[in-house]
Amino acid sequence: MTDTVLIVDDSPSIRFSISTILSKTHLDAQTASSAEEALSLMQAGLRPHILITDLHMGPMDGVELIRQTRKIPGLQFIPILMLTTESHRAERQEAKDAGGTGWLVKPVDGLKLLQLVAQLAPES
Amino acid sequence: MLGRPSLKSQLAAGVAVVGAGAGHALGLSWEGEAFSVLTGLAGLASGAWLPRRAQEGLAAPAPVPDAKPESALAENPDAPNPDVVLAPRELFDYLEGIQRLLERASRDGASVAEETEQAAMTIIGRLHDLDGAMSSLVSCVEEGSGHDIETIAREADEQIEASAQHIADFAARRSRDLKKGYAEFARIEEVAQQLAASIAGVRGIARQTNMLALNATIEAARAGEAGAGFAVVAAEVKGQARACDGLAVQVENQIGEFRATVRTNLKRIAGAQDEAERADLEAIGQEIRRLNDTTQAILSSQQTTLRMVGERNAAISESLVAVIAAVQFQDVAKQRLSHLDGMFELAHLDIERMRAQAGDREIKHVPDVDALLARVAEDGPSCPRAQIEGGLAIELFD
Repeated sequence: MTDTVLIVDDSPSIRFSISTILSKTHLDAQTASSAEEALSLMQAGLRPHILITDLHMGPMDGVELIRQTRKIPGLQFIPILMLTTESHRAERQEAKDAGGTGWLVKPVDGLKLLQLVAQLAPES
Repeated sequence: MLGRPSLKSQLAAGVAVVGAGAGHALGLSWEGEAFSVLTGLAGLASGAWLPRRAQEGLAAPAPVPDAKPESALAENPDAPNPDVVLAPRELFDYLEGIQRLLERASRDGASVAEETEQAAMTIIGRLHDLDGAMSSLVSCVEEGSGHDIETIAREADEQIEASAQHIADFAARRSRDLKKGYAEFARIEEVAQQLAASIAGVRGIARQTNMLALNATIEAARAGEAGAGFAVVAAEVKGQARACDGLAVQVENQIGEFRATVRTNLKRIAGAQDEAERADLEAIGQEIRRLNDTTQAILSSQQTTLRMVGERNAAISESLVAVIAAVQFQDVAKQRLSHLDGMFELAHLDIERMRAQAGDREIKHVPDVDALLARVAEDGPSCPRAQIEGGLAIELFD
């Protein structure tokens, strides 16, 4: 079965950009335009090997998506990266406390993102 | 007149700082007049595209919302203000002008955000197509033509090796044939030698016979009249012995000539042919080696080309990834504009509240400019990389 990365962002250009970059990896990129849509996909059975989510989305934000994802069986330990324009320490801490794995500030360096994804979801 | 002369300048300064904050949030570096910057923002768009507040119309300012954002006036709008000032009509008109300016800036910001989003999608789409085309091209070269070239080279190599083997087999066969020929000629020589030996024996018998005939002649002479007939026989035998010896000599000479002829022809025919064939085979071998070298050179060149194509493609792919990632800045700009719009909204509401008092021609409640300035001082989204808290654009939590 193909490994999957789920990209959650309300910006179409960000979803397109990240999924295009990650098409260079072994991962199959799926996208959601809101936290609610992502949660719905995962509750319906999608089991991404890595989750990349925006912070500011409405009504559910990225931190809450992390909390809800961690409650889903099989997704308690997957890498979850926050991809956001925010860079404040307090917000990073909040994402970490919610169960986040890492923090990426937009615009993220494409090659570094590829290295990070290869590190977090190595090809089996 | 204004009871507090500094109000207008404070408002102007507040808007100026808003403008300065907007410039900072947009990554601009400027120190100029706030109004000229805001007017500049307003001039970015033609006005043909009218989102959000533009739909409400410029001539009729929006009513004061029920929601009360952060301002001193919002906290307690009915609180008595000791600094009741009489505001001239011109001030209210000016405030309305600022409101319109803020609306225009907000509208243009939204327009820029949407248009750049569309442009970003187009750019990423084109880059995506370009990346796909490059990958297809490289796959075609590596798996298609490249594979064919290697197959052709391998087949050519096999054919060359087979040809060389055929030639080697032919040479070996020719060598065996020559050895067989030499063996047969040696057998002929041996038979000739045996014949020569037999002839020598015949000549010995002839000499013995001649000697016997001579003795018979002597004995016949000693017998006198009685041996006369025997003397005739002895003379006849002697003649036969000489004739036999003469024939034996003749045969011996002919065998000698035959052996000399065989040896001469063997050296001339076999030796010359062998030498010629060896030279031809050596020439063919050299051509085959040259052909093999050429094939190897073609293969090596093709492999070098494939390697270079792979390296160039990797470099192009890295550049494409970098450019595609850089397009994310559009979203950063969009959020900065949104942040800026929030500040415009705050200023707009404060002005709206003051203008609502226009009927009294008095400003009883002046919004707290400190709240406005505090908002201006807030960090916006995605500050410059050098200012990212902790210096980490990518951070993995412990």
